Amino acid sequence: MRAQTSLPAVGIAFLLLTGTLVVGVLSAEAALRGADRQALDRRAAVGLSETLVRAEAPVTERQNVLNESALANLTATDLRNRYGLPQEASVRITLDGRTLVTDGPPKNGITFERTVLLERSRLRTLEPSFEGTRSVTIPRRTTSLNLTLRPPVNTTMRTVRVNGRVRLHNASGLNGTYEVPVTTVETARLRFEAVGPLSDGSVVIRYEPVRTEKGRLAVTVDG
Amino acid sequence: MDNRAVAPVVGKLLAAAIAVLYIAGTTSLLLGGVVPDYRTAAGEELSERTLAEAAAIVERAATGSGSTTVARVRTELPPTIRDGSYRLVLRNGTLVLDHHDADLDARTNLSVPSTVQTVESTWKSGDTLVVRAAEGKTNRTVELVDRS
Repeated sequence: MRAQTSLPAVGIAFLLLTGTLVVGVLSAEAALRGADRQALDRRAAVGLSETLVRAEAPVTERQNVLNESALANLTATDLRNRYGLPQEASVRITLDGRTLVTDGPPKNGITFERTVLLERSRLRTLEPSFEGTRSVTIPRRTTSLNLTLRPPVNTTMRTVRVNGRVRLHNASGLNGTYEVPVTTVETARLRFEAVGPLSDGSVVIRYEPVRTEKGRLAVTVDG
Repeated sequence: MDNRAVAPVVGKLLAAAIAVLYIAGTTSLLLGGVVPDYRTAAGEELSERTLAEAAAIVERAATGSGSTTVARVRTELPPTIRDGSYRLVLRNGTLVLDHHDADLDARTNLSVPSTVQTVESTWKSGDTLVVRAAEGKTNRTVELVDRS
């Protein structure tokens, strides 16, 4: 075996070669994993968020303005059937960090965020006390006022004016509930013209001012 | 003691045989398992991106300005994926990439307004992708144009 001294050298050389090969394969693997951009998940997330804020979507008032109560009723089934989410994908939709819909839940996936406007309307009631004045200014602009007129028995309320224009008139006296459309272009100032005293509770004004706030809608899709 | 001179020859032959076996083994290991897997993985990624790009083009054509009666949007897509040609099929609101290797198939749902109708159409790779959108009486239609 004197002449076989080259065999250990060959063995060591192969060991080194194998090591290089393993390192090469591992780095190729890492490069491939790093190149995974989840293009289709991204597309699904972008597409879903676009469909959600589209003007004709059921959860929007107009383009990019979401109706908060409609958004709260959104379910994962709706997303699949109406908003084009793939059947097998898991999804999470959050609004300002609050989870609205989650299904799956997605383990990694792609998150797409967009700034949206949220529209909320809340019913407000105003009861003027009529101390020294018979005018009322509505603090927030709205499209419609609901007036309930219950003047005291010895008072005849004849006219209600909005910004000087007569909107309700009855010479024999107004009594009951009336819907008065107003404009959002100017602040509504109501004036009640009555013969006799008016007091607390004679007039109740209900209105629903609309408030829009900015929000962050985040859509995560993991296909 | 006639065969003493044989020893170095046997040693060399042994080393050469081991080297040949080793190279054959690693080559078959790489080309038989690792490399095709990697090509498929790279092909999957490429087919996903190709489909994403094609879907973006279709959506752009679909939601394009309403004033134009007919719009054509074109883009270059890879002629082959993993050395094989492929087809794009637009059908019923989805876009499907159909490759002869089933691992590379991909599909995506298009996010288009409900007024847009997708016409069932096919495009074969190797050409420029042209998407034609036309304004109809009631709705807008999109289709892939196959020029072959």
